[in-house]
Amino acid sequence: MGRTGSKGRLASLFRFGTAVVLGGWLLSAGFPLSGQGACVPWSAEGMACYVRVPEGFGRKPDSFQRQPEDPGTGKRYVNPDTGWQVVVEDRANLLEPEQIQELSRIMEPVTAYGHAAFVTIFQNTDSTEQFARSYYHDRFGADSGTIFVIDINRRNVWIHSDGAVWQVITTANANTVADNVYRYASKGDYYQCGAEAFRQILALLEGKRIPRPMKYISNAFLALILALLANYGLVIWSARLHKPGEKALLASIDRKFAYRNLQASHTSQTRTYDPASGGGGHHGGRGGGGGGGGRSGGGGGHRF
Amino acid sequence: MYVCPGCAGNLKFDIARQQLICESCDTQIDPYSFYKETDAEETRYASEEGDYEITVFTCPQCGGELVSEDVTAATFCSFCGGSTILDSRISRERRPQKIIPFTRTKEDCRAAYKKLVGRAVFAPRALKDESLIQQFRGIYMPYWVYSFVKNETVTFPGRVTSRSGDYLITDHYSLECQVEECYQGLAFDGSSTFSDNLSSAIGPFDLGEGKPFVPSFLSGFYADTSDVEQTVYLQDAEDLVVRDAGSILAADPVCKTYQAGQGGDWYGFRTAVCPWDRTVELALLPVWFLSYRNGDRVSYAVVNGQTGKAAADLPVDGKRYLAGSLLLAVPLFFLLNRFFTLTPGKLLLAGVLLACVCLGISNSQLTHMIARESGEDDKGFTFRNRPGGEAPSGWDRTKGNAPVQKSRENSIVEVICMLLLFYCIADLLSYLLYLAGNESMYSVVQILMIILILGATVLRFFDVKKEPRWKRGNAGEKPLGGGHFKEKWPVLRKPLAGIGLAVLILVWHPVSDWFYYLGALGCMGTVLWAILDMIRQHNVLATRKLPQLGRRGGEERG
Repeated sequence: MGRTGSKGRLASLFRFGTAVVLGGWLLSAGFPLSGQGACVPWSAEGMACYVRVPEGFGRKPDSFQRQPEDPGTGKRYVNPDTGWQVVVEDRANLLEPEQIQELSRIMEPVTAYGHAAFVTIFQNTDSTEQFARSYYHDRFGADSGTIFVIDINRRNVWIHSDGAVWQVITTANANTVADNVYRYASKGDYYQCGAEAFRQILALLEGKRIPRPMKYISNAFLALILALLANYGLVIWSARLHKPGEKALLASIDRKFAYRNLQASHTSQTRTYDPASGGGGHHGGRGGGGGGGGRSGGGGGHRF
Repeated sequence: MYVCPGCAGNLKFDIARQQLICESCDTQIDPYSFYKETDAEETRYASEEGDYEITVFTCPQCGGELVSEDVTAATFCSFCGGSTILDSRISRERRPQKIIPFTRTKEDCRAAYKKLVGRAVFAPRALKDESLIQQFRGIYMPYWVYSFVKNETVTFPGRVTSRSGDYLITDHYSLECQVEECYQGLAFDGSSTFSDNLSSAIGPFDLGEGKPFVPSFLSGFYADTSDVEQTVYLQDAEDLVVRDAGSILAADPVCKTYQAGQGGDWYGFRTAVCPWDRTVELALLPVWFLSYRNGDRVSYAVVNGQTGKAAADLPVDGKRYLAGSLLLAVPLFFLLNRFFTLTPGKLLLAGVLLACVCLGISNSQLTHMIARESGEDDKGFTFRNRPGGEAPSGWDRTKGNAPVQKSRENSIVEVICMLLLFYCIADLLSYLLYLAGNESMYSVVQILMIILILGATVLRFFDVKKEPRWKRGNAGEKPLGGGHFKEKWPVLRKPLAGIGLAVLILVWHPVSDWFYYLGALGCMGTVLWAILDMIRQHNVLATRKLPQLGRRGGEERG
């Protein structure tokens, strides 16, 4: 849940007084839809989710050009089989050197599926989401991989994925992982936050399960309420008294209406002063925004 | 009791044969050939002080005293079960001019009822019980039948407006035509105890099949006389006629050219098509009734005795409803898990949305409930129970004296206010979405919502503007949300509390997910509570106060 602070919050408070009507179509626009995973809840080991890994997963695209290692840019490891990299860039100086080493080690298995990047920042003009997207794009282009960003300035964590990894680390899964690890960041344990995030990302990539108890609890509530409402609709439909319309009423009676010799004769004329309203004025206009750049990928995050 | 001339048995009207049939010797007699001056003898007793008077009918067969409602015209003796016509009620009160005899038998009626309750999955099992279905009773209900005729030359105003510089030039015209208008057989129930909702749901009757009334048709059935003035539904019938005739005339190209019936000229147009020559007659129309007692309330099922159309109050069995909902919740749960992962903020928004839906439904139900319980939704009941009991408007209203109808003024100011309100709501919803964490969707959704709402407002504006005033009904303007919020508050406060809690958390915007989850669960808890309230309200709406259409004594299989 990346956000850009409390912009306009106070100014918008008065609007809540009118909050009575909500359109049904509103939430549908906001619901993340993740169609890549097959969820099987209530497993023997507790509430968890299995994720199906797409076919051809982990193979490097033919167009990939292996880049030379460069410790100055945070590159820590390059998978010799796939060529995917581990990048740990601690711009906010949140981790000890040994923690960076350990985190890199934890991230290494992810390179079987794509790039793995961990970045901390302390200054950023964009939102955390935009930073993560731009960083990933600048660094890895459209390659498969994932990036985990800790934004100290905005107190946000964000996971952005692209390529084949994005098919597993969807927006929904990224949000779940972020929800599961943001508490470590809240406590200042940034290493554990990143390590746990990549452990869960790896688990998902390997088709394993990650804990998401609240998803099942909230979905159970939602399902019950939706079922109650759906059945209520059925009750109303079946109990409605179907009254005949006016057409049916009129069709059942002896009815006749006819007219003839309809004529109009002029009686009078009136003049009303009504000055035509002037149009005038300039038609200012802003230029249309540019289209997207064909970017893909997405992710999710959480404040901490 | 109508006595068989052959064996002194009880003659009753047989639906299949459309004749009076003797129960004992099967003698058939044409209803019109059998006339009896007095059936049950009427005796009036007054107290010595003269402060009350009772009327007792004596059964012509066994001499038992008959107990009946004030409006009962035909009933059954409590002692011998004999069918008895209370002739004095028919002659002294309003004597019907017409009757449509029952053409649908009790078997037809049961079949129609079974079909109706068959689709009510959550109706109490007792409603489908065979022993209950056996208890349908045939009752002749009083209906006022309105007829309108007009055959004259009418004039109405028209105009054409054009612009000349800074002036609007309006040419006024007088349109004239010969109108031939005839609407016969608009029936409205004339009993204050027969709900307008139920009576209109089983309509319409085909008055063309009506026959001149003779009391012998009532033998074997219950019957009521009218306790509602003939003027009560006159305005409704007149509005119906004016809307139909006006639509036909207004569709003429000449009327369109001269904008007849539009703007300020609506009254002249209405007067032109409104027929002033009206007649009304009382008719007895056949209805099968079934009552289902539920505590201190009762629900009714009615079937049109002529067409077989059925309508019923269908309450909900709470246990069946909950069991059905739990069953449906299982696949929904798996479906949600398959496709949706809601972040805590969105979950909270989902709770708000559901609470708003419940709030709207609950408010609508409560509005209906208040109207039902007070009798506001039943013109006959309202007429009967208002102080004075006089007709609201005289039958002999003179030409040109039609009541001016109150209607909404769709001024520009109103539309601007609506736009502002809708904009605020759209902006608020977008902002809530933004707070819930979907930053990228914020602007898109906001723009989309504003476009949709503006579109809806514009469509609504033009839809209202294009409807001429002569077409609108005589109902007064209803307050926003149905009013009566003081009475509704104990119920509405539950979902409102959920919405308030959710909005509070969204504005507070805490970091920890637990606040969102707790808020969402709290909000959904109030939604569950509100849904249970909705079911209770539905059951109140599907039942009625006692006593209503109370039937006593006599033959159960009447």
